[in-house]
Amino acid sequence: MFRNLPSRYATARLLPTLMLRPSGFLYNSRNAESYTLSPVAACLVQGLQRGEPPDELWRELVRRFEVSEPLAHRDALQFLSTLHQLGLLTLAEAEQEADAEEEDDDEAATGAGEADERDGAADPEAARP
Amino acid sequence: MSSSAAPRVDLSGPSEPLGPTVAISGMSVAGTLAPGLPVVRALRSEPGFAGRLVGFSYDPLDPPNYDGELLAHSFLFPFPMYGPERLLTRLTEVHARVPLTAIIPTLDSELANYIQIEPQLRALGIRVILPSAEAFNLRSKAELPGVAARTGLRVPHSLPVASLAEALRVSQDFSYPFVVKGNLHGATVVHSGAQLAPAVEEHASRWGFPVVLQEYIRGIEYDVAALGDRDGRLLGAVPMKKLQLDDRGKAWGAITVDDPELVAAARSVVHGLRWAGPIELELMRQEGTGEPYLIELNPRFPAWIHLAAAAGQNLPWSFLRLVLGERVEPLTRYKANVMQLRRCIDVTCSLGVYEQLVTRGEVDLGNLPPDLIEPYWVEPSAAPLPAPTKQRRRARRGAAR
Repeated sequence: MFRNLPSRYATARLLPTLMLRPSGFLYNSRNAESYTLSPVAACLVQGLQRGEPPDELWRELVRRFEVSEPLAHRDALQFLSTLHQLGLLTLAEAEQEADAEEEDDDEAATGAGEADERDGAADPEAARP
Repeated sequence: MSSSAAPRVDLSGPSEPLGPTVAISGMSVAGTLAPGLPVVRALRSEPGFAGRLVGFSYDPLDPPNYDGELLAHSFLFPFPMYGPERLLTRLTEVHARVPLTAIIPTLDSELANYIQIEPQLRALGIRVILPSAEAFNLRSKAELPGVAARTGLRVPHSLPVASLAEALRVSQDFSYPFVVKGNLHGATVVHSGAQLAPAVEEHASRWGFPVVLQEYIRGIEYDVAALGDRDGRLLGAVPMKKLQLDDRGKAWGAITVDDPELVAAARSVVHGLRWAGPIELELMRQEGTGEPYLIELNPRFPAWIHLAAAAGQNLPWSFLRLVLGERVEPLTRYKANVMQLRRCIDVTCSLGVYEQLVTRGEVDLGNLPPDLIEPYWVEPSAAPLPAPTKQRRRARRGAAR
């Protein structure tokens, strides 16, 4: 059995103001940001909207898209991380702070600052897994 | 983007006569108004026009994409920089969805691609009238002296340059001020050597080389919207004087003038270049002498073309009839002293149309799906605002230090 997704995603919640359309158009009515999702990304967002546990997310990819477990796991993990970076996915507070500590350590180590974070958030293409 | 396997859209009701379906490009409005919307309005204002108009757009936020009273259908297209093959692929997809009778391209930057795929368009049964590749190249800013030789019109001294170094070297031939012109759009008057390099680099970065250095003709600018047939015959021409300019020097207000010499200049250009289709002449009447100098030729209808229609020459309508194979008699008269003042209108529209454009690359404005995203009322929230996570985290870390 492939390993589970990190525990910080166990209580992850999508922003309630997000609206996913059958076309793959994801829209945040809070700030009017929109994203065009691939079918894989849309599948993951639908799973999150249904409140499915994180590990069910990548297993659903394996079932629906007939991809290997490692690939589905990697894509799901990357996409959850992207959603979080875009501010579309909230984690439990304790997890978020731990995550932020990691993030700050990374920033200190790499010299990459908030500008990089903003750049990522401004790029709708970044939502494509 | 839609695929060619997608079902065709039936644009005609069962008992409705099927008029021509005409695609028009250049729907941009932001910044500078592109000619597509004015051409649409000119055709819509013609009582004889009974067809359907389809918009070709490069940006889902182009406002005409949202106006079902102007367009029946809108399609997104790849930018012209991607070349004629991508254009043809997209056109083939679109033609499979909505069979097109004719296309009127309205942007300088896309004409070279259309000229290259003209035989394939003909094979698809799509009608176009385009200038020949030779005429199209001759009207480029770099070739203005060649236009003078063919038309007998005065042109300012102009030299194309292929690099900044060449521009600095060639600038010795000009006295200040002179004009630096971009390959496709834009012009900057430079008054000193210090202004030259930034101007050349700016235009080159936007449209590439060559950049053109041109003698500055001090005077008043007049523009002529004109139309030629395939035989070099002038089918209509309306001259105007700019009354107001936007910050790029484009006409924001204009008035038609009674100036036969400017109409004659249009006739010389259409005849001399054997120009087929719409063209705009930009001329400066020199201060003191009043001599007209041709400073630029634009291979399309100008964005102020609705003024020509209002003055009695609906050139887009004449052009469409020509494209459709009808016999078109030249328009020889127009009303002088007709003013046009541009205004902006805010259009409210459905987010669902945007959704369709960005996810499918098209929207059928006459048949919008009922489940479009619609606005909803936002209730004031009773919940307290969440604390700013980032600041709190930084404060905590600061305290720890």
